[in-house]
Amino acid sequence: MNALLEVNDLKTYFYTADGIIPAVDGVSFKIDRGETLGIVGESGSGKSVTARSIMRLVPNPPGKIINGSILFKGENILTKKEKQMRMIRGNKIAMIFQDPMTSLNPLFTVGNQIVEAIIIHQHVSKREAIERAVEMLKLVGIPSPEKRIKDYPHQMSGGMRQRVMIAMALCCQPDLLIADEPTTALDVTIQAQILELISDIKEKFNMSVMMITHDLGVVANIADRIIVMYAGKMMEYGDVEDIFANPLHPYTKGLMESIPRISSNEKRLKSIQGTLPDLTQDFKGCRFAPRCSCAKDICHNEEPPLVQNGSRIVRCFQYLSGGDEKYGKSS
Amino acid sequence: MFNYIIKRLLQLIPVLFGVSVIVFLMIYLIPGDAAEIIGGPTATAEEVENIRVKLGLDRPMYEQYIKYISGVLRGELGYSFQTGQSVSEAIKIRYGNTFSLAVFSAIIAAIIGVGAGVIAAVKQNSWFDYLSMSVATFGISAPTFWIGLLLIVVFCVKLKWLPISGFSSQFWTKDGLTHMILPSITLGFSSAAMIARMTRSSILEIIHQDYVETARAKGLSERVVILKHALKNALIPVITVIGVNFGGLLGGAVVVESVFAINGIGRLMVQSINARDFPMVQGTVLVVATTFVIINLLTDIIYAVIDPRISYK
Repeated sequence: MNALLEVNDLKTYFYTADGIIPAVDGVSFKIDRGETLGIVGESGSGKSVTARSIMRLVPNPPGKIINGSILFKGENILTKKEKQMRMIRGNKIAMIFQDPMTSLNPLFTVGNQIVEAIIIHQHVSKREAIERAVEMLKLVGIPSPEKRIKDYPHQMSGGMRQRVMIAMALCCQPDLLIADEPTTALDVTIQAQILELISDIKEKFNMSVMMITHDLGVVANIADRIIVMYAGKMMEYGDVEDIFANPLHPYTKGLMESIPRISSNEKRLKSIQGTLPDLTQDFKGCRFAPRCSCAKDICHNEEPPLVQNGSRIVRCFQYLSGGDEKYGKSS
Repeated sequence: MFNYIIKRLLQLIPVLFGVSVIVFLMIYLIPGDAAEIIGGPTATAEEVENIRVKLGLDRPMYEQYIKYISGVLRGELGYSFQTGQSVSEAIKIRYGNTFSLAVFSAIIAAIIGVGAGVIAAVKQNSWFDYLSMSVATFGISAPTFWIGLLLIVVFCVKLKWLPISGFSSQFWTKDGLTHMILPSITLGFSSAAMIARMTRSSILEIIHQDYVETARAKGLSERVVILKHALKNALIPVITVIGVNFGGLLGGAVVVESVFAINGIGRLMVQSINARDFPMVQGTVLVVATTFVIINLLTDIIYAVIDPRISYK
């Protein structure tokens, strides 16, 4: 199958007064039509910057995409002019954001904000656009949409606003929906509803979804494949069932272990000790090594390559063929 | 919205009452006995007493206030000590000049200030940003009369593009307009500078908001993102500055009217203060203060029109 989106060796760096931050450093993946890709990682791992690179919405300065290609339907969007890019944004690739309380403009009605997106891409009359917006609000489960369309964002709850955001993202029937932590700011009960809605809509429109989250529970439910990111690097990439059944990378293992389980008798929640490394310094070795319980000398000195392991790709010396010699016998 | 406006109108009543009390008490706020000051150093005790009776200053204070306020409500502000002219008539003649000057200045200040502020914010750290913000700092610091004189020297004396004096409030005629330009720029300069700085910082804050990113992610052009989504939000604090500055424009008119020889309320006020013409001072202060209160009311209503969240609070 032809991939809808193919990202190759993407590097997005931020040039700050404190030094250069490689926020996304050589990330490659693809998303097929109708597929849901989950990108998992803690804050600062480069998930959101990856998404914004695809939308070409990385604030420049300080951010800059310095390497790689992003093929959308076979065309490299990194070489497109800003005007061509605007035809893609919101039309072919749509995005929803983390905090629905702040992602809608407080001074315009939700109807106005949806209609605006329809009019710029679909070349329809305002009346048709309004009808379309009502239809979309209905689709995302907003009761009496013909009334609510005149509401301002502050008259709606967080869950409702996120539904509005989804309606807005879907109004031009995009091929790819990028959801940047769409449930993080919501109540747990609402989270499930929103995830279900995204799944339903994905089926209905045969869309692809790129789901960014730090919550493994979210990707377990919704994703086909997942990427685990850490400090701008891809650490593990594979089918969701495989990764959940048998996480390979120590970081993925750590993430899995930190999911609280009711069945567990442990008194304390498990966590991965330490924090993300300061990437502005010349960093040597594996970026996870300072926090890794299985790190050996080589991990601190050399950057591990991506290793193909069956259907899985993992960035760890442990899985390098003949890596045992370099790595030393793993215990 | 309607309820909000009614509510704000009702709130106007105690404010205007306060204004009238303060204006009324002005005559007591000056040190010494008002009747003696009015009479001057040569007045005999009898003459001072006559003045006191004539002004009603011998009556109890509440009685004096009731007499004063009932006159005000009927539009009678008393008669000038100096000329015997009706105060309300004198103000009526001059009010239009000052008000049209202030409005014109406010419009010029708003257009230049918001425009420069937006461009400076969008092109942050560019030469335009540095230049406009330097001019703005200059505009805030330079005294009004000096800017007025400078403009007169350049545009009237050297270049001979515009007339020096002969102001009329009929700005819709070509003649009126040419007379309006320099005084308005002089008066509005510092206001424009403040608006520009406020707009710039407000836009810079707003463009990092999530909804601005949402607008970009929709595929809107940068122009629409800034002028529709960012500017409308950024204008809320800017409108406060414009509203408050309008009061400053009325006050600043005192200087500009003197520099450009405009027959306005500011000059009338200064002349009356110098002549100790109390009814005239009271009348002009009352009118200017009321105008200011009404402008503030309009500012609040504009808020509610722009920001739907306000009327709900």
